[in-house]
Amino acid sequence: MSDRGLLEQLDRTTETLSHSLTHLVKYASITEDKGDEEDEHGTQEIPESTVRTSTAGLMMVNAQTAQLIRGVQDLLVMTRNIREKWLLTQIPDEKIDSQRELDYQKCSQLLEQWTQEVLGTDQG
Amino acid sequence: MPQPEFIQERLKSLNTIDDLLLATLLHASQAVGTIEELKRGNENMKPQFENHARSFYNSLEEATVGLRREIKHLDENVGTRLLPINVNKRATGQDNDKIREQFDKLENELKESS
Amino acid sequence: MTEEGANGRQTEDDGMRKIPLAIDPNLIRLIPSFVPPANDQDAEEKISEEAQKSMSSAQSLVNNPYESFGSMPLDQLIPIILQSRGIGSKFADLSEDTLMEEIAKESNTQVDTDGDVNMDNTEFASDADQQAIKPQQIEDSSPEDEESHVTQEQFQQLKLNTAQSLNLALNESSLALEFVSLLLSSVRPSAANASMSPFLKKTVPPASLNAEKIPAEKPKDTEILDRNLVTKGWKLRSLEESRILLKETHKALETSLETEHSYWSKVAHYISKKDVVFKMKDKETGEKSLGLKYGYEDSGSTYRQERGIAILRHNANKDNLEVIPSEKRQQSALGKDNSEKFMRVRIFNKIQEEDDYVLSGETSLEDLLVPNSITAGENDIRRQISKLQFIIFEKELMFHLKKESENLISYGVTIENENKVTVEFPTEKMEFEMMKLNDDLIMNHQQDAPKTNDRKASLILVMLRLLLVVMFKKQLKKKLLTGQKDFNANSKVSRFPESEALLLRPIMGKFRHGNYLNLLQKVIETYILEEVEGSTVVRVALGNFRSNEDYDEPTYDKHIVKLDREIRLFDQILQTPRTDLLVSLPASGKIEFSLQSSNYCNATTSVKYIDATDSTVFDTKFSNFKELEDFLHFIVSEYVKSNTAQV
Repeated sequence: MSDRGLLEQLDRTTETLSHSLTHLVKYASITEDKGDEEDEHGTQEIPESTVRTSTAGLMMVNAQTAQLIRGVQDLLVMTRNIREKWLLTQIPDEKIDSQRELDYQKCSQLLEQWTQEVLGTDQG
Repeated sequence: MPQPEFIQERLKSLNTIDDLLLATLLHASQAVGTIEELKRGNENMKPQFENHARSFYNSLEEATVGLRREIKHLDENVGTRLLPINVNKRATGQDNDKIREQFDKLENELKESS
Repeated sequence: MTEEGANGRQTEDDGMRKIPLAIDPNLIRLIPSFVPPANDQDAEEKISEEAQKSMSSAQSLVNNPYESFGSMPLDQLIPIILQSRGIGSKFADLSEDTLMEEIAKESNTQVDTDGDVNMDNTEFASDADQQAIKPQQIEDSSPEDEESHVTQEQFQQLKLNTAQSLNLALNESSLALEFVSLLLSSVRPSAANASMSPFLKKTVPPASLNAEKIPAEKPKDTEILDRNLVTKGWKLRSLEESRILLKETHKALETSLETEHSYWSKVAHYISKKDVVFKMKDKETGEKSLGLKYGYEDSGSTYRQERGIAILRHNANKDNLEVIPSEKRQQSALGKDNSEKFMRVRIFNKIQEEDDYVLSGETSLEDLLVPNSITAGENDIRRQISKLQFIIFEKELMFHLKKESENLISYGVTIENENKVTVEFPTEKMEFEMMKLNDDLIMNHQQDAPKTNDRKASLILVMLRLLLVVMFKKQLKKKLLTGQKDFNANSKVSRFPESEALLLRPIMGKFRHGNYLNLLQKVIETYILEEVEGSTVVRVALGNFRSNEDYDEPTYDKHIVKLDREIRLFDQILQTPRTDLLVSLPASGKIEFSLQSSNYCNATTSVKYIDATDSTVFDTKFSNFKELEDFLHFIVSEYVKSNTAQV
C-alpha cells in the first residue's frame, strides 16, 4: 500500500525535524562549554581556529537549518499529495449521468418538427 | 457541484496541519532567536527559549499526529471512495451533455415559433 | 605557623627529631631497651593505642617505647608534650635553647646517679638509629611469613615475571639511551659514539636524527580573547542567519500556503467528481498544478487539433480560479490563431433577377459567450469550462464541415476561406462562418433587428451540432464494438478512421431534394397532367423503412444499446431523401416515380410505367431531367395518348 510509504516518510521527516532543532541548540551550547573550559584550564585549550568556527557555523546554517526547512516543506508537500489523492482519485459514479436516457419520443418529435420548420411541411 | 462533506472535512484538516507545520517553522526561528539572545548574555531569555522550544515540539507533534490520522483516512477509503491507483480518468459522457443541451435549444427555438 | 614549622621539620629530618623527643625527661625513665616500631600502618595503630594507654595510666607504660611518640602525628604528639610539661605551657614557648637548658639540667641531676648518662644517651641515640632500621626488617618478615605459604611453582612464576619485567625495563631504558645518543651524535659525535651501541652505530649513521626544540607557542591572553571573540561572533552570526532563514521561509511559506489553501478550497467547491482533473505542470508558471480535460476526446470526438486540456490556475490578484487552455500560450507563440471562435450561420436571399443577395437571417451570439460580471464563484468556473467546451466543439464542427465541403464543390458548396463555407441554392445562400469572439461582436449582439430567417438559421446550426454529436456517438459505438482493450491504444486514430462527416449533406440534401421534387413535379405537370386528361398525381407515403424493434434484438452492451437508440433518433434526418409519386392515368395504367439521392445532393428519378393490364412496360432510371422529359413525352404520346385515342 502506498500509504505505508507515506507513513514511513512521515516518521523519517519528523525525526529529522526534531533532531534539527536539537542540533541547532547543541551547536550554540558547544560554544558555551568551550568557553568554560578555557576559563578553567587557561591556556590549555586553544580556541578553535577561525576556519573551524566558520565552517561549523556555515554547516549549521546550511545543513541544520536547511534540513529543518526542508523537513517542513516535505511535510507540506505531503499534505498536498493527500489533497491530490482525495480530489483526483475518487471513484467516479458513472451511473448518475451517462446512463440517463433521453426522452426519445420527445426528441424524435422535436426532430420531426425541425424538418417541418426548416423544409416546409411537404417532406417526410 | 461541491465535493462531498467528508472530503471538504479532510481538506480542512489538512489545512490545519499545514498551519501547524508553518507554526513549527516559526517556533524554530523564535527558538533560535532566543538562543542567540542567550548567547549574547541575556540570561532572562531562558524561559522564553524553553517556551519556544516546547512550542516547536508541540506543534511538530500535533502536525505529525494529524498527518498520521489523515494517512489512515486515506488508507481506509481506498476501495470505497478512492481508487487504489492513479488512473487516467476519461472525460466520457460529454456527448450526452451536448446532445441534451442542443435538444433543449431546439425545443426552445421551436417553442418560440409555435 | 608553628605547627606548620614543626610539620616541616618532621618531614625534613624525621630521625633527627626523634632524639630530642626521646630525651623528654618524663619519658626517659620509661625507656627500656625496646624496639621502636616503624611507620608501618599496623604498628602505628598499635602505638597510638598504647599511647592512649600511656595517657590514661602513665605509670603502667612499661612497654611504651619513646619511639612511638616520634612516629605519632603532631596533633596527638603536641598535646602529650604539653601535658607532660604541665598545664599552662605553650608549644610556642618551646625553643631549642630552653630545651637544651632543660636537658642540661637533667643531665646534671643524672650525673649524680650515673655518670655515664651522657655517654649512654649518645650511645642510645646511635643505637636507636640503628634499631630504627631493624623494626622494618622485623615488620617485613611478617609478609614473608605469608609468602612462605606460596608454593614453589608460584614462586618460580613470580620470579620469572620479575625477571621479565626487569629485562623489559632494561631494554626500554637502553633504547631510550640509544635514542638520546643518536640525537646527541649530531652535536657531540664523540660523546655519542661512546654511548651508542655497536649495533646502532652499524645500522644508523650518526647525526641522522635531529630534533629541535620549538617553544610551545602559548597563545597570548589577548590572542585567546581575540579568538574567543571571533568564535563567539561566528556563532552569533550563524544563529542570526539561521533565525532569519527560518523566519523568511516561514513568511514565504505562509503566503504560498494561503494561496494554496484558497486554491484547494475553490477546487473542492467548484470541481466535481465528474470533472476530469489530473496533475499537470503549469508550463507557464512552472508550478505543479491541476489540469482539467474539457475536450470531447473521450466522448467520441476525433478532433485532434486541440487537446482540450486546461489548467486550473489560481489568480492571486482576483483570488479566483481560472481555467486556461494549455495550448493557448504555445499556439499564440507559434503565431497560430487560437482565438475564441464560434460558428455563425447566415442566410441570404437572392434578389430576383439580380445577382445579389440580401441577409435574411442569422444566428445570434450564444449567451455563454457574453461576459457576465454577475456570475462569480462556482458559476464562474462552470461558465469558464462550458465556454471552453463550447468553443472547442464549434471548432471541431467547422473542421468537419470543411472536410465535408471539399467533396461538395460541384453542388454549390464553396470554401471561401479557412473560416467560411457557403452553400448556394437557387434562391438563397447559406454562410457558415467561424467568428472571432471580439468586443465589437459582444457589444453589438442583440442590437440587430430580428429577421425572418433568424430562426431558420438557428435551427440549422442546432442541427449541425446535433449531427456532430451523432458522429461522436457513432464513433463511440464503433470503438465499443471493436473491443475495449485497445480503446486507449495510440493506434486508435489509424485503427478507426474518422467516420465520414455527415453534417452539411443531410441538411442541404433536404433542400436540394425539395428543389428536385419541385422540378419533377413541374415536369410531371407539363408532360403528363397537362397532356393526359383526368390524370392525377399523389404522393406515396413511405413506410418506416426500418423498424425500431429490429435494432434491439441483439442485445449488446447496454452502452451500445443506448448509443443505438440515440443514433436512431436521427435516422429520419440522416437517411438519403426519397419521395415517391404516383401518377394515375385514367384507363391507361399508372406511372410510379421515385425521386432519390445516393449522396444527398444528386438526384435520380426512377420511372416505372405500368399499363392497364398491370404489366410493367418500362422500369428505368434518370439522373437528368431533360432525358426524363423526353422519356415522359415518349410514353405519353406512344402509350397513353394512343391508348385513349383508340378508346
